[in-house]
Amino acid sequence: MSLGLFATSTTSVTVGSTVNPADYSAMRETIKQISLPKIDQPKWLKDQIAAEVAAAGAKRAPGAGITVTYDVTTRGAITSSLSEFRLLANQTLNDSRGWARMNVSFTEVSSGGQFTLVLAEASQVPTFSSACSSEYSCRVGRYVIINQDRWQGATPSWNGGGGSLRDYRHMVVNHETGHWLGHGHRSCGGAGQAAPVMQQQSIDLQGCKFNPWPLASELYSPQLGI
Amino acid sequence: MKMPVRPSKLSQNKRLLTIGGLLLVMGFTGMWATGSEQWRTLSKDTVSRRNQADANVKAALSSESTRGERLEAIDRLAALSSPKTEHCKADWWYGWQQSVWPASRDAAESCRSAARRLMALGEAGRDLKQYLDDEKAIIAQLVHLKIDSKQSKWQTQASDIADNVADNLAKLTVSASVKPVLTEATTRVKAISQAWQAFEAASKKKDRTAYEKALAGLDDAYAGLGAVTDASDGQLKDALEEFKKKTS
Repeated sequence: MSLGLFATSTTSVTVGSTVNPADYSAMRETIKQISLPKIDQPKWLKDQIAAEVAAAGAKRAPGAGITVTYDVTTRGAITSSLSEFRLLANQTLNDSRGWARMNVSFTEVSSGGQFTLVLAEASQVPTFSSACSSEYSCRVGRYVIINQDRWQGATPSWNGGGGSLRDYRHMVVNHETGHWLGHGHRSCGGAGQAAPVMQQQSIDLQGCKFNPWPLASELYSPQLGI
Repeated sequence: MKMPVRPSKLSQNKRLLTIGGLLLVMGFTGMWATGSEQWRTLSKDTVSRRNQADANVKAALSSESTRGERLEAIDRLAALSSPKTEHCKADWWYGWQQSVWPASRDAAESCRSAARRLMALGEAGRDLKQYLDDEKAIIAQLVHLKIDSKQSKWQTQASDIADNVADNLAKLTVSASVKPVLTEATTRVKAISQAWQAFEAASKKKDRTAYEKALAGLDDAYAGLGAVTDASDGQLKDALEEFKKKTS
């Protein structure tokens, strides 16, 4: 006797092989939206800087530049060409559109530079400081750290906006070196304008256009006293 | 005049016996039919719930679903059963059929098998829902850190807001798997709060070195929130892998 009442098989479930946390949680996008807006320099600081720039300009003969030395190292498993990294980084730093406009030249030395430019495996970036994320590049003290994943593939927002990898590389080297030069983050000055190089362009353009080079208003360096 | 023939006692007993036998067979058939019907209803419900659970697991993990669809599927999955739900449990009166008819026994076992899977999927759904609800509570606090720089007093408000968010995060209770995310978030928000205090102190002193150091500290503190994303990604990946394992 068969009652014929009960199904015994279970429905076959086909699922994706990888899971992406962002498909389930809004944490990533929430954190991305939290950033420090540009803090305008207070008047007392503007006055001090103006006085110092004037004094430095008076001391320096016209055309006399400052030379900044840096050494290059790596951390973690590096799959990018180190020689290409060194070449592009040096070209960027000394490009006439870059920080070199402050009458500064950057020279790579084998060791003991004023700052150390690091090409780091993404997972190694947080080993410099817990404030650094494996997602992005970072600057910690004398270390200007370029995240290899970003060096190789920029960011989705950069690529999505049609930015080239070469320009991203210019931008990331200029941005992180900018931190070493004494700059904090800046915000977009207005929709459609070129983004300050110290804006976190990898994360959000805030209506600005991609820009790999420092704006004229960014051409000063508390670190170098100019 | 003819006298009516009265049936003999023997034939009267025979009729009674026949009627009694018929009543017994009818009663028994009725009981069997009612018992079968009860099993049918129980099984239908359990199998239907299991099928719904499987469909929800599929939607929760499908790459074609939107985030909203995934979360709805997880909510539905979690609600399909509870640890207290008693599936496939017939009244004792009908339960005896299982020990008499093999087919009934097999049917009951099939129902229990569907129930076991339903309970396993439900538990996996509830665990994942708990994780996501806990993380949502953290996110609900962190969103307050978004700054609208168009407001004139954002600078003074940002410091107070960071203080409040740090306090609120410290009061949250979350499941063990979300604790690392909460710890990271609390630490990072406290760092932002402290960085604002240092910045305000340096601004008051008009000390350029301290001011620039504090400004860099603020930058670092906000950038440090990236570590919360890393912690969340790691923990949620684990929770999702566990969900996949339990529902495979």
